[in-house]
Amino acid sequence: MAKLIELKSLYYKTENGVALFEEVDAEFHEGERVGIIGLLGSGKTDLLRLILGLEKPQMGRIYLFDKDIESLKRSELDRLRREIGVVFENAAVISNLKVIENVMLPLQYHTNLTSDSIMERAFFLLSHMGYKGDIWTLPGPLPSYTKKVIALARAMAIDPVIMIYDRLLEGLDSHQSLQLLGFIDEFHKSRSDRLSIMIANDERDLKDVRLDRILGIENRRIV
Amino acid sequence: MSIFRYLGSIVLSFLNDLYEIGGFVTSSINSLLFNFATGRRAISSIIYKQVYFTGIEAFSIISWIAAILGIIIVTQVISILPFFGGERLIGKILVWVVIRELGPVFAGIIVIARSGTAMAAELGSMQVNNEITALEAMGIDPKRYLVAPRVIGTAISALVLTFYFEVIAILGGYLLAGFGKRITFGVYVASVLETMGFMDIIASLLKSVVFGLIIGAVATLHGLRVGKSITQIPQQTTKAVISSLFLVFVVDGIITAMFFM
Repeated sequence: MAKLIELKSLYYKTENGVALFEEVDAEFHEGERVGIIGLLGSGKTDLLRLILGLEKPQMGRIYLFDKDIESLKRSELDRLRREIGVVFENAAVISNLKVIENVMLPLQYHTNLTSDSIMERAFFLLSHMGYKGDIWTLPGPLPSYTKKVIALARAMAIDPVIMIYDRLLEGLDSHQSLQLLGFIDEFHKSRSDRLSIMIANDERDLKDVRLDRILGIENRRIV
Repeated sequence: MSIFRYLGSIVLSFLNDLYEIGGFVTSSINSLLFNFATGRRAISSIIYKQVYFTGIEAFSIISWIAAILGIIIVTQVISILPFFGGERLIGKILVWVVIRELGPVFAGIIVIARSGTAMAAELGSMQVNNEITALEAMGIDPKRYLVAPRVIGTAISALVLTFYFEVIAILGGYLLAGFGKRITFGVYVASVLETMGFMDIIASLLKSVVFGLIIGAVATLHGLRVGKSITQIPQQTTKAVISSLFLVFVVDGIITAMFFM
């Protein structure tokens, strides 16, 4: 199976001088479902930011689709990022865009699809995930679960190869968690080369998630 | 600290701000021009929204301020004209005061108050809520998607609002000048048009576009400077207002000197 993400001898220290990763090596392959766990402050979100090229490691290399992200131009990196769908812990839906516009955004920005097909795809994803509210409302006042549904639909809209879920299930009840996991499972299976990474604080948070392996961030290393 | 050192530090800080803003505008617009087709629909939609919010929605407040200002200027002029040579001077004074100076400056101040603050707070809040990171994660460059369309939208709006402000101020002035038949509409307009030269129009339009670019860039720059703390939003918004006002007045002085000295 091809490597989609590779971390090589990674060393990363935050702006405040806290060393989070030392000599970290890890590989993530196509078709895999991987869990990453770590205590609060262990560097889970920093790892996500490093993979996306939003932070630079002091030493070591990060390869996305076999390309060293440090050697890429901004536009080339953006092209790779469109192949990665990320759902953040707080959903991070764009507050000044309406619900449907949030889901349409990656398609509008990155594709040449017609407005009608973009709208159709966004509407399909939202209704498939059980969104029953007004699609022309701003997402600010919506409950956390609904925002996560919108963020999930937005991340899935462009059909990325890699999906990363950053503490997606936090703050959700078991019924809501199982519902989202159902969509994630279905989405993972819809493409054989898809890599799914689920980030969580604790192994217990991943008990209902189907995973091939679980990695832990401990003492500045991935084990 | 000596007065020269103090003045020097102000000039250096101004040049530094101007350099940073210039670089910010250039890199944002560059990111838009380079690979023009990417995200065109999403970006155009933001430009329309910005023009609607900054330009069209400001027409009502601009109308009132411009009309009142026109009346105030004509009132002052009429009160002193008998000493200096008749109603024909009204046009000259309106062109000198409204078209060369107050039109672009007042429109700029209104844009800062309404839209500069809103843009800085909006981007600041997006920063705090991780929305900017989410955009970057989607492969959407925030400079291209958030900054450039806002800067362009603000510049277009400032241009249109300045033109509108000047027309309304001149018409508002006539409300008073014409009242009691002191001066006919024809004489009033002719007096304005006679005085208004090509350079007056160019200077006024140039000022409005430059002010719009400055306001859009300063507001978005400060909005994006917000870190992870919500308390930084009002701080950066205030800084955006102060910097914009300062830069607008200084640049106004520079353009005036370039054109009329």
